[in-house]
Amino acid sequence: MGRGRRERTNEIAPYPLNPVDVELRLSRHDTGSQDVLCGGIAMTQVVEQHWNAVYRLLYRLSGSSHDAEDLTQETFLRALQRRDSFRAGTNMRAWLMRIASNAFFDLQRRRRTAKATPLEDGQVQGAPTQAGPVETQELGGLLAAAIARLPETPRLVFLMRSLEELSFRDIAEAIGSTEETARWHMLQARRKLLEMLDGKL
Amino acid sequence: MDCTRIQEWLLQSDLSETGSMPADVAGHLAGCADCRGLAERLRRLETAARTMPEPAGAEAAKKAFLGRLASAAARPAAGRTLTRRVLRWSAAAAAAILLATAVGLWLFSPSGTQTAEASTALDQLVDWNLDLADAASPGDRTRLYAANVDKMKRLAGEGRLSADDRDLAGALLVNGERLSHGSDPVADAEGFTEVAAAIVQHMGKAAKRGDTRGLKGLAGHYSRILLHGINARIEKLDAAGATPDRNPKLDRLIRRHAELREQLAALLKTTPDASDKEIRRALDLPAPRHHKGK
Repeated sequence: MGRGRRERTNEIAPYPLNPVDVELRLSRHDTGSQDVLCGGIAMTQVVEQHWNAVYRLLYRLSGSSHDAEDLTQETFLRALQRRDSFRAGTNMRAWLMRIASNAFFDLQRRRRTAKATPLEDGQVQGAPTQAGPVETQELGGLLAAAIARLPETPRLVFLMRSLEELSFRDIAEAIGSTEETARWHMLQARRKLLEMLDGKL
Repeated sequence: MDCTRIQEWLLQSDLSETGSMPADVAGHLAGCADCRGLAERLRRLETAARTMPEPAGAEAAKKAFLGRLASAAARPAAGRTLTRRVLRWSAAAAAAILLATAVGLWLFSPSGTQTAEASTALDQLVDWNLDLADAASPGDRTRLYAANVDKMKRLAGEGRLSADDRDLAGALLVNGERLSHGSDPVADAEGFTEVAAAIVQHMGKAAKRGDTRGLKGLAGHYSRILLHGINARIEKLDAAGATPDRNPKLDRLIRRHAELREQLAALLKTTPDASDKEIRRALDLPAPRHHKGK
């Protein structure tokens, strides 16, 4: 019989690159409706409420609008896939930020593995932003460039706290660490930023 | 408290806490211009962070994503590629367990109960089932069944097989007989799905008793049944234009595989830690703890 062509295999079938269809389909089976719920909230509403914050974080983390767009999409796809892991009553923003930061670190790892050219520090300066008042824009631009020069974890902690106003407890959960460690990263981030912006604040 | 401690406190504080800061910190700040200056610079830093220009492009990307969500929800005939995706997903899970248990075998002293003989017997029964399903015509199926059924029954009845393996061998015999009677791809896929469900059930038992070798063997059978038995039928159905929306049996099949996928994912909790990591990686599931602080 045809064993040869059906040998036992370690083959791993490709993971669906775009599970939106699959998830929606399964969700509709689960709920009997067209709505996909995440923590009791319609997925479209989750996207509406949190997309910009996730995008903002990823933009400041990656320094690239292209990466920010891809990673934000990846974040919400992962959220869609793993919506059952969200605990009702907890902070959805923090949960999404955790997924987003994992997506970012995964990308960094893949790039390191592929020995791709890493993003240059300060690349964020040249990326498009929505203009504000000139003074704000100047200080904001300087700060953005300084943030881009922080090590990854202090940068993430600073952004989650200062930009998104997450509590240190939520940040700790998002980075898989303790609150004390999160605060220590914040100390490092603020100390370096003050050094870099010496005389500007 | 001295300046060093006060400044460390400020640098890692939630600055909104400064309104309710400890009395000794407040007392120090009142009398120390340096530390007061640091507190003020930190407040300006926070303000500057919140006034950084918003990146452009977020809104457009959001609209595009919402559009995808809406079109996916509204598309009733997404089943053609969807069907394959769901099944391939399950295959990925099984293959991941296969891979993971291979790692587990290397790392842990195996105390497997599924013997090489059992594996060979089950391999042959699986092959027989797959050959029946692939037969060119109903007549060929009948002939192939008749030519091998006695041998397969002997294999299934071998005393060396464990009770679980005999049970699985029995399921393959029943499926072989079912395959010999027809050539409807949906019915074939349903039959293979029942076998797959039995395998998953036994995988759960093997995981519970820590039988890494047995788990590996079963994951291999599952992968082969899924990839060569079920997916091959689904390909035929896709080619014929069948979709879950128009074919309730196919719809049930997809739901059944979603359940099996969940059961396979649940196996993550009962496999050894080392292989658990491999499974999670292969399934692209989040690790329990990520990138601890440096």
